Amino acid sequence: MKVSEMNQYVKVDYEASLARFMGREDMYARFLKKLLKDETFQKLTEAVETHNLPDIERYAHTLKGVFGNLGLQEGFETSNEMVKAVREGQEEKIGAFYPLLREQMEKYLNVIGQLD
Amino acid sequence: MGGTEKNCLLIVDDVEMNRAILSGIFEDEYRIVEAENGKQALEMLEQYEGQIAAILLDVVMPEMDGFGMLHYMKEHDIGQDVPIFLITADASEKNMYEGYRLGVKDIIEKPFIPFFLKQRIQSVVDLYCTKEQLKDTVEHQAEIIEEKVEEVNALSRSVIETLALAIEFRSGETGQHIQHIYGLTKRLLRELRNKGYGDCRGLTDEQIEQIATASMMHDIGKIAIPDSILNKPGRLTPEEYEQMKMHSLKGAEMIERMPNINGNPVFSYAYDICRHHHERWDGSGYPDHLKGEENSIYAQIVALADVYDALVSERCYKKAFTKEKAVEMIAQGECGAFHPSLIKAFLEIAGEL
Repeated sequence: MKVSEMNQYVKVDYEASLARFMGREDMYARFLKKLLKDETFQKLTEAVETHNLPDIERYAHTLKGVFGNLGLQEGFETSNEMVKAVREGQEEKIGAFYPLLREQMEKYLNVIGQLD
Repeated sequence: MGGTEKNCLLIVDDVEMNRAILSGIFEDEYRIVEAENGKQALEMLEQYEGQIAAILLDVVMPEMDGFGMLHYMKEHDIGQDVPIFLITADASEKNMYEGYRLGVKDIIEKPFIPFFLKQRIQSVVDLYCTKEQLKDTVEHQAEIIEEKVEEVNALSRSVIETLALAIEFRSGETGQHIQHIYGLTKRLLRELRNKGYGDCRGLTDEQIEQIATASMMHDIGKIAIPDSILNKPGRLTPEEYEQMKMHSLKGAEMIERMPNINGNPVFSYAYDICRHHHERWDGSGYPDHLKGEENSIYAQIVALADVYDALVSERCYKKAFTKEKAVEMIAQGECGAFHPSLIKAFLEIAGEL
């Protein structure tokens, strides 16, 4: 599967993201695939489990940047909401957004795994 | 990029993808230097000192974050001439205030559109380049001006010297006298300044140079005195002496008529020195019979220097005294009264004469 075809499964801001990688789809794909081995989500999971708010903020923030650059819009929005929840002291929201983000992440990994 | 060697771009971000995206955008125009956190970035700044055109800085990073780095740079005065751009996924109001307060030039939110990012960064870098070139130009021009001022000063000093020399040659002397007056005036001024004497305490080296230069003109009024009196081997008659005394006023008059007298401090000193270098502390001098501190310390200094040099030189009407004898005569008031502080300063430096 090509990056341009990912849109069939997940919401991807393909054009803008490709431009960020200077129009080089191979580079775009390479960084998408890096997500398969990336540990940030695992660290976020641990932080949620241990109620470590500073770490939740930090890893959600990192994911927000990564999803943003890769054009993975839903993940970007959810992680953004999590950062805001920590900053605004609304801990109950973290519990609501985390499962959503987990679901999105699993979908991403699944689709990226099928890239050429 | 102009004449400067700033062709590096420092990218600071802990996420490899972010660094790769940014270097992809700029790698054609710049040599890319990467750092994973503030600490590494500071090391890079040191390693590439003077070569970094701009810093693209992430905020949230381990070890030392973006704000930590900005604080450190500000406190230690590092890289303050390099434009910094915050590239952050968190462009909250608070972060933006803090960023701008710490001196960043622009804040760009992730994810960004490469084209816009490039424009925003390039225009600031260009501005910095122009600023630096202007600074270089201004510095260069200031150097030229300084050289020219030096030249003009040297020229006006030699004109003044020539003028003073002409008068000395007319009295059949060698030109040594004005050199001696120049040197002695300078030494006395410095001694009085070091001792903290009132009017001399705040003198700059430049002012001392100006006064010493002016001292060379003390006798230019002699140009108006007839040869028969100026070069008379024997004693002057009272009438001749009265005419001879006119040289103080004549000299002052000449200086006063010089164009631009107000523009150059040398001439205001020279006016005072010409007119008053024959005044005496007890009021017995001429032409204005100034008493004590009514006369400026500058004219008093030249008066003393003039007397001393006359004593130790051979003249058409007298032989030379030894230095020791001359110092003794002045100290004992045989050559007229001088300011006690001036005598004291004179005795301090008399050993080195």
